[in-house]
Amino acid sequence: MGINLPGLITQLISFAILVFLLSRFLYKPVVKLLDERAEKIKKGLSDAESASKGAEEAASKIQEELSQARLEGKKLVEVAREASNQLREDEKEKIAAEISQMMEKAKKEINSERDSAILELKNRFGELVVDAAGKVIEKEIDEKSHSELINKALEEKAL
Amino acid sequence: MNKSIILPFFLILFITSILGGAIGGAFPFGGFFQSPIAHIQLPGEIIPGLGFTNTSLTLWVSMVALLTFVFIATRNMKSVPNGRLQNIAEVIVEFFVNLAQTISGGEKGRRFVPLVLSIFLCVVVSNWVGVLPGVGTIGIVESAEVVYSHKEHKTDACHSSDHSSDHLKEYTCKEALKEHLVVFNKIPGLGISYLPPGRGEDKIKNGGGVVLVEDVINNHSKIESGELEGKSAGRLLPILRGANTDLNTTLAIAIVAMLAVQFWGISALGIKKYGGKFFNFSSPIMLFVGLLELIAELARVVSFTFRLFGNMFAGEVLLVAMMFLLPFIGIIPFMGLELFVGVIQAFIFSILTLIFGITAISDHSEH
Repeated sequence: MGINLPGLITQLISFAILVFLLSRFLYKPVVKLLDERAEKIKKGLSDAESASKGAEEAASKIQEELSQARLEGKKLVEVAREASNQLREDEKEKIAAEISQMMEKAKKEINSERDSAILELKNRFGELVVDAAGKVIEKEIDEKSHSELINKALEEKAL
Repeated sequence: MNKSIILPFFLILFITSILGGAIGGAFPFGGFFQSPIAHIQLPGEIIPGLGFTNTSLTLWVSMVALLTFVFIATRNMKSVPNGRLQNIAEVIVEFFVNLAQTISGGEKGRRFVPLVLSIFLCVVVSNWVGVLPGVGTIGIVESAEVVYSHKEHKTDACHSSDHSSDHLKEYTCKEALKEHLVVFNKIPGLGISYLPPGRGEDKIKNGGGVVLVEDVINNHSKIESGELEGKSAGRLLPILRGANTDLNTTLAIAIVAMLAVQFWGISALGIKKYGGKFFNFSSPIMLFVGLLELIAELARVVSFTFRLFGNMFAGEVLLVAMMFLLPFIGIIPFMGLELFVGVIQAFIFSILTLIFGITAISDHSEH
């Protein structure tokens, strides 16, 4: 059948050398590479997962902060509006008070002006009347009867 | 090529193939490419002057081809592969790593991979090299005297002849004299012989054929001189022949595989526990079972050897026979079949090694 020792030993040695070389130059480097790649892919996947989780967290955080900020802003606007309303009311009141004050003052001034005018007129009117009466009667009356006359006339007028 | 040409082209080739082969040889006009059916020999032939067989040479050629591929593929490996060779190497290795891990159920399967991978690659490459054109068909023409002496040395019946006077040897061994030789045409000046296309089994006068050693030695056939000048009778000794068509190769691989299985078993279970599988003296039944296991282990070597050898040798014979029956086109499907068988046999060999290894490291006593 052709089995002989030299042939068998030749093929045994050849095959053993082949097994050694293949495991050294094919199996080891390729398996090392495959393992490294598997490790890298695993790491990459977990990194990507954690990154996406982080991004999700950040997004929700941002959302939360945004809504909080919106709320705060609304509150601020409300406060500002109230303050401005208050301010306006105050201003209005102040202005109204001022106006009324000024009106009061003006009224008072007018009154005093009028009083003084009346007083002056009264004074001047007496003189005028005296002058006129003097002129009419052409006669000087004394101071006492003079005043009496005036007062009498004024009373009559006032009545 | 135009599509309308292809079909008639192959049809004509196919018809030529049928007519030119041995089937067409039955008709008077056919058989023009028929060759004498090749001499089929079981053992590998020793290449004269080199001292090793042609099957060894083919194994080395396959090894060199395989290792060249491996060196180129793994020389400059990158994590992101840019070469196709690296991908091929990765696919093959990863396939076996995954297979071993799946079958053995974990990382411990990795220890089998280097050998299993080597068996697969070695067997598949040497099988495919055996299908290459030129393997088994290009060789040295052995002269009638060489064929005679080979046969004489091998046959017990011829050993009675006197070996002391080699030069003055008388060709007396009847069996060796009845060996067939093929008539080759010679290209003068180059020393190249070739088998003439033609009617292989015909008489020499018709331009081809077969002669007996006896006729050549006793110069009855007029080869080399006389009317058939320029022809030589001899037997083709192929320089390359499928490595697995030699029992030595398949036996060598089987021995390495089974030795490795024993090694794995001992290293995993310890020599006492592993040996206990075969030599169990606890009860007569267990002793018998252990004996059967031992025989089974030896039978595995034999079955490994003969399964691969039988398939590859049969494939070679099939191709030779088909070349005889249907030259050209006719053998193409069978070449495809041989490529397929080459992979399947390599796969079976490696997978069985893997399974035997896993069986060896599994602890039976726990079940």
